[in-house]
Amino acid sequence: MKEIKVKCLSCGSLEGGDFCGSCHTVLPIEQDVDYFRLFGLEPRPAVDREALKATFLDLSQKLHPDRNVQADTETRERVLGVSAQLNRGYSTLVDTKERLRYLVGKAQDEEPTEANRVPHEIMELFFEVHDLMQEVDAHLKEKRPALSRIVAAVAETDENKRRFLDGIAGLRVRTMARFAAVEDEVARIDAEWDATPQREKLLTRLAELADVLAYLGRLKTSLARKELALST
Amino acid sequence: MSKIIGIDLGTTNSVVAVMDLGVPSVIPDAEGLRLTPSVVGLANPDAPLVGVPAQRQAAVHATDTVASVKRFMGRRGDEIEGEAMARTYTVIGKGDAPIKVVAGGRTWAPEEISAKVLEKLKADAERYLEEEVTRAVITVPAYFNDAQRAATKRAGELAGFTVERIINEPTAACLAYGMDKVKQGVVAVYDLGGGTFDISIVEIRGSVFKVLSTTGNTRLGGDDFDRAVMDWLLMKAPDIDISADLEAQARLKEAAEAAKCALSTRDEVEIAIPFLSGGKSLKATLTRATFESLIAARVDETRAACLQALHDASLGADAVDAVILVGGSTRIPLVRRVVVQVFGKEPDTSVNPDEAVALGAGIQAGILAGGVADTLLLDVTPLSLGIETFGGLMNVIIPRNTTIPTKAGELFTTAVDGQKAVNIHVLQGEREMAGDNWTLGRFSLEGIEPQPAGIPRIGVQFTIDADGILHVLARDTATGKEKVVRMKAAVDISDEEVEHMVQQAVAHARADVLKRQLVEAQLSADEMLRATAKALERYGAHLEAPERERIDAAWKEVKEAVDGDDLNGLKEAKQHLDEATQKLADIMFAEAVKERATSERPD
Repeated sequence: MKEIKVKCLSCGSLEGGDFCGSCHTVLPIEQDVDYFRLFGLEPRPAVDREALKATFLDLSQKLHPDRNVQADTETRERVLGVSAQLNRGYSTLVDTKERLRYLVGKAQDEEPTEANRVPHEIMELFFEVHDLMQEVDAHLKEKRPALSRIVAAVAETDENKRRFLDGIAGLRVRTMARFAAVEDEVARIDAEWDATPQREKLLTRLAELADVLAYLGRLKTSLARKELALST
Repeated sequence: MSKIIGIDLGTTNSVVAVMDLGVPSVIPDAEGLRLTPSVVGLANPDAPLVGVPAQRQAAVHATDTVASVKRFMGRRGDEIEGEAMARTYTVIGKGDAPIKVVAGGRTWAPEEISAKVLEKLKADAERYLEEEVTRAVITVPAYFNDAQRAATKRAGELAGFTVERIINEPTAACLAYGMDKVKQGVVAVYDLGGGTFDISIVEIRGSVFKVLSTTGNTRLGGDDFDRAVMDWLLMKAPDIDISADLEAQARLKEAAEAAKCALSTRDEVEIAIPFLSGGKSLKATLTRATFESLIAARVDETRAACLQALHDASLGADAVDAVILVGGSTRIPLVRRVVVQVFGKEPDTSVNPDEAVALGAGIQAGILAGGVADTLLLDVTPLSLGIETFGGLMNVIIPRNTTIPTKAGELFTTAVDGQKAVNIHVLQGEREMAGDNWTLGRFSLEGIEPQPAGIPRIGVQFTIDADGILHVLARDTATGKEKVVRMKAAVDISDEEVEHMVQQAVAHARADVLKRQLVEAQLSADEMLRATAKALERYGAHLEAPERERIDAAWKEVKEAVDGDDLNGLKEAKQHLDEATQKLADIMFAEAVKERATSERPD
């Protein structure tokens, strides 16, 4: 991993990252800090999640408010800000959808707004989930929390419920397969990244993939939610 | 610099721990107990009694003895309507108004009473450590919202502490679990205490404890199980009416709690309360099976929460390396069975369920003091933070399970020409409609330069600090002026209103409660009747004749009682039907498992 050297604003020594190892002062990070840079990475579509996490935990060890309880108020305020940015940076980069949006936003100087249309490539899956969810909702409407075991037992042995759970399981497998396919495509684009100086096409596709991920995420959540509602 | 102590400020008991030579240890209170009952006697409000001394006089001064006040911390009237917990003191507060406790001839904010507990813990710790103690880490249920956390912090300050950190109970317990052993991997902390339930999924990696997800219920715990046993006992003794006899209620609660505890190791327990009320004694035998049927529905709620937490952590149950149990209610065998069912493994019992949280708070105190070198806790915010937008919807700004501290900015503008102020409604919760979530507060951005609609730009920054508490900062981007925004959290009320509410609360509370209980009992009886009929139709053939007859008789009994207004009679009939259908339910659950095995699910 490439380490970025920053001159410490407090004591002037040359140290890595945003923490001065010489005078142990947390340096202010500018408002629009580059998250990739924060973690010593080049901006690109794919990240090594394990390495990113290791860096995050390592930086947290130094920058967390718990490490600076005794400091003066001004430093503590600064630490709070730095730590908040670190946390946001990590959650942005570790999540492929967020990372792609961030990358595209950086390149185009504007964070892409999410399409409010279902991406064409997952339309079919989307409608299948939608239809099943409506059926499940109609079924759940009649259900109240079971206050006795016999009520719970009747709900447990309901044949519709069996069919719904099987349907949800099947759709979840397909949703997860789409997630994996997007990750694969991001990896392929990442492989072309360095050799492509004109990246407009790649960026357009990455923005589309971020939308696909957003919709897949919603499908996954609504499947899980309905499964939970059915099984408890 | 004085020592920092760790305090588990529990619903039922509180525990204090401190780091001693790199190891956390519990400090006993003045009575020599490691667990100090969170009970405050306010019969003489100028000389409050706390802990065992308060408990001792509880039966005599039932209405002036406050237990489980934690359930009311940071709460408003409309949130506790329907609160079925067992208590012998009066609480007031309706709608938007904050809850107040009436005791010792005056009203108290819940945090004032918590502060009395903390004052005792402070004094006892000072005596034990032989030095002044002014700094503390205090634990809260992970699922506590902003108002509940802020109230807890205020209680600490009222008791004379500098509250160095508010930390989550399950996370603290996880620290205690992972600290002394070299343990790595994913840990599920199942924390069911006296009044609250939390489930947290934590990843331990090196010396960093990173919380992946957390969820819970701040109104589910041992108190509810006591209440269920109390209701059952009263149902068994229809000739005893203690609804106006608070002393008898206190004794009944004590007996119910003792029976609950005994049933964790025994199959049945004799309950006898001589001369409970009106010269009448109460006697009953409670079996573990009946007890379990009384609490099964509530315990089942924790199952859903566990599955939710796993989903939020993007993990399956098989990814959990260890499950640890915290809180006294995890001693109940039924609770353990549910845990095994959800996680598919026996829980790790290496932590003491009563002391783990305090020990973890002690470790966190050590971390803050700089005495515990590498260990670091990365916790999350349990609830999504958002603001109300067009159409009464909630717009999420910081989603739940975001690692804290965290910041998020939002730009606001005006809707009409020349508008000088913008009102902002800040919410916490997971529901889509703003009105269904908890209102953290409202604030107004004022002094905006009159301009055409949509032109002004006011940036508002929401910061959730390491205590999980929200701070709001507004910046007018035109003038660059910054302002810390104070949110009006809850409407304060006048003394007359309080007086009026006290009278009303006493007059109406009982009638309201009884009426609501009857309606609820009728609804659930109807549901049981329908369910039993359906179950018999499909699985009746699996039953022996006497079994079937027993169910039919119980069914008829409920059918006859359901439209009447005899609450106790209906409850008893329901209980009979519940007991009569246990075997049928067992058969059906077994069939469901069989069906599931044959349909073989992918994934």
